[in-house]
Amino acid sequence: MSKSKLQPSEILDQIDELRQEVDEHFRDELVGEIYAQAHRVTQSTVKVLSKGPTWDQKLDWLLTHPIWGWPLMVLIFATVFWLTVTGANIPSAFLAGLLIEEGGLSSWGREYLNLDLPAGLSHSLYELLHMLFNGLHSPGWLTGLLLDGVYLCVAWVVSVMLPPMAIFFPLFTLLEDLGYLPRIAFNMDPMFKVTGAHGKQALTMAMGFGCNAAGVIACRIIDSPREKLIAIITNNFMICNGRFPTVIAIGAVLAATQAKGGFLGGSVAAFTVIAVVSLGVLLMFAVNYALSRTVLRGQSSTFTLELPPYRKPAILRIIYTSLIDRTLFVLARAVTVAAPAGVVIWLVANLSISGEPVGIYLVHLLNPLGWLMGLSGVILLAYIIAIPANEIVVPTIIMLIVLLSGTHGLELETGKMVETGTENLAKLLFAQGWTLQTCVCFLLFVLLHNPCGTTIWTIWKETHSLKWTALATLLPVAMGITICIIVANIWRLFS
Amino acid sequence: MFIPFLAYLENQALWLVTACALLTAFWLMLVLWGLGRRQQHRLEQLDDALKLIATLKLECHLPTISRLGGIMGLMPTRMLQVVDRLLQKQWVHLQDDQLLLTNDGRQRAVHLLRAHRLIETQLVYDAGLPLDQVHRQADRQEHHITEEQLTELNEHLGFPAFDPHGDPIPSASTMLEPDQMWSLATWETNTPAKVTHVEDEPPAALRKLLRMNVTPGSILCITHRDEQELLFEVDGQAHTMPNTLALSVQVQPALVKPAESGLQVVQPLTDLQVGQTGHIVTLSRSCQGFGRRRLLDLGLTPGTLITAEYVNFGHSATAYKIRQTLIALRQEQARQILIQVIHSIDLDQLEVNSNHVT
Repeated sequence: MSKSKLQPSEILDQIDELRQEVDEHFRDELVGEIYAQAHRVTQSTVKVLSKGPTWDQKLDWLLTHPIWGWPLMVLIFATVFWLTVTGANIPSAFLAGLLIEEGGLSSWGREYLNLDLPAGLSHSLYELLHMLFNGLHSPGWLTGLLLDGVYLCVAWVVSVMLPPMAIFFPLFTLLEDLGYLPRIAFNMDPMFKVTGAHGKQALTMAMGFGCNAAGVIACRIIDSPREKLIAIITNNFMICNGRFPTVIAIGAVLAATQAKGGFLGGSVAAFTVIAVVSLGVLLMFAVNYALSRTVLRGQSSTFTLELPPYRKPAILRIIYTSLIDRTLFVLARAVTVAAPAGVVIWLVANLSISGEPVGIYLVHLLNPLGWLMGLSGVILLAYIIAIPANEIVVPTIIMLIVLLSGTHGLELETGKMVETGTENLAKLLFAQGWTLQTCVCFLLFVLLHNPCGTTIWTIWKETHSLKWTALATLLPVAMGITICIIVANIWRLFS
Repeated sequence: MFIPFLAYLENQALWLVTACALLTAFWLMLVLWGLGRRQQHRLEQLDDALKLIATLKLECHLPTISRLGGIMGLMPTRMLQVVDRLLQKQWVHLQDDQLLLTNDGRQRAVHLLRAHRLIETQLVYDAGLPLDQVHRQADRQEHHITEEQLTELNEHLGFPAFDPHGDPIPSASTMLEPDQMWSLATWETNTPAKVTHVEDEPPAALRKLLRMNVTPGSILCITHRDEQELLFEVDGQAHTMPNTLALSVQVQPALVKPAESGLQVVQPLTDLQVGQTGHIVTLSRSCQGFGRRRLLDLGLTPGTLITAEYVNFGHSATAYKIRQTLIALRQEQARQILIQVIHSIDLDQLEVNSNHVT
């Protein structure tokens, strides 16, 4: 065969030539033929028996109903949140007892099991490690840096983050496995269409409630690069599991100080959470709209969404994928960034310049901006330190307050991250001059600030673009500063 | 009085020097940036002149210096400078008063054309930008793309043969050749025509054409014409357009099956009411690239039965049952799928027969 002697370049030229001749219907015909063949095989092997409305159709009629669809969706998500928030309390307290708290698991046992645990369990790992370090005669700064800095920060992140994630992600995967999630995208599509985004963004947003980093990764399901970027940038407006505890803590403080107890007092906390989440969703749509009309202008891309049949969930697989692929993956990243943050926190509290810790200087530096935003230098510094992991915001604030003002009658150690009950927290905060306005501005800032370090890293990984990473990082924080300044000063004007 | 002033200055001197240095550095950066921009602009002008020479040649006009200057809107002295640079780069040579492309020049021109059309293809099919917005961006980007990047882009796009305007994308080695085309304004009635090119300027005209589904690849048929306007059908829907607008549409005879000629009664999928069933006749020719591939891959091939199952809140999307699968499509996608509604016919019978239709 003489053809075998063709040079590679000649073959390429020949391909070029042939491609010009290929009919433009070629692809259509090819795909059509494949499907026709598949159809013939199906015809000869598969028999469709029943004809009446199936179980699937009835369920679909209910879940995607133009009127019932939305309330049902809200109800299902509210249930998931409620289960996550209340269900995470017990394991969270358990982990905190095991890893951090003075007295180990004894107080957890008394509160949740109503019995006194054996004395062997009355030391937390933190205390045991302290004993070990002291026994080894390690220098004070090393013990401080490793235990009070790195270990405490990591342990805090684990005990706050792991239980909600271990509950939320399996529930989310369950909804996914049932086939309900695509129906949410279908229900919510008009909102996304009006704001110039893709309907599948609803899924990535739902994922963002669990963890923004996971939500950003989930944006891969959106085909069009433009709409994918919108989804990535706005994912941060979903309150993630790391920020939920902060919102709940402030909600509890508000309930404890503003309401006069009873049923109303209890619902203040819940209402706070719902209000912050709804505001986040509204802002997400607003930013979608703004982005798709300015920097990310363009047409909506093809929207095709498969609505798979409802399936019986495979429980074991769900637990495996959600725990291994999502929970542990996200937790590993969070721990990686929390460890260096622990070092920074310890240094800020313990490094001194002419007798005063560095933290005090930084707080004074940030105080003017903090006042303008209706917050304080303490809160801003806590946010700067907590960029790697948002979970540590509240403990950092407490640590800084204690550092600045002594112990205030509460039995707290200076220079360490600590956890206190709601009553103590409220007392501590309001003694620092916090008011209702500070709480509101703080909640706004919890919603609107830069994504955590893990998320920023993930955005960089997903976009490989400095520009979009910077926009996704700076846009929310700029919005947060502006909105806080406006709210704080209008509030001051009227009171 | 003088001495305290000196002392004061000395105090401030460090600050003054720093401020001046910063300002100077800033100013220098501005100047350098400006110079860079100007250099860039000059290079782009060279490319534009080259492209113009190639196009004029294709349209059988004589590319003289004065004609070039007139079209590019340059003063004669500036135009001469541009020609000088072109001659220096040996992209053109002068024959009498005509500018002719050298081999290098032709290669550069093909590269630019290829870059322009591939970038437009990417912007429309990949980034989802509307057709009327891509021309300017491609004009900016075509100057800065290397041959390697272009090969990569071509591969990424799956070696497209035509850009979204319907113009052929030359391969790296092809020559520029004119293609036989007719204007829609002079096209015969009742003869199916395939749109091969749509002028991208003026943008308002292009937008108007896009709204009527007149894009490269769409197949239309003029049903009636008079002095001012012509009546035509595309994708089973009738529209009118003024004769002046028809001048910016180039067509070729359509060698199509009757199903696609627009003469058969077809409806867009959006006409299908919930509960009704239809069979797909074809996908509109205006649906191209990634969107078309996606619809085909989902099994929306000609002859397939499709049933509208339910619409969502706000009616932005509808769920259709196709091959025992539920697939939701937005109105925009559904409009590009052409169907025939099946009224009270035994569907089982059709299901059996449908594999012969393809």
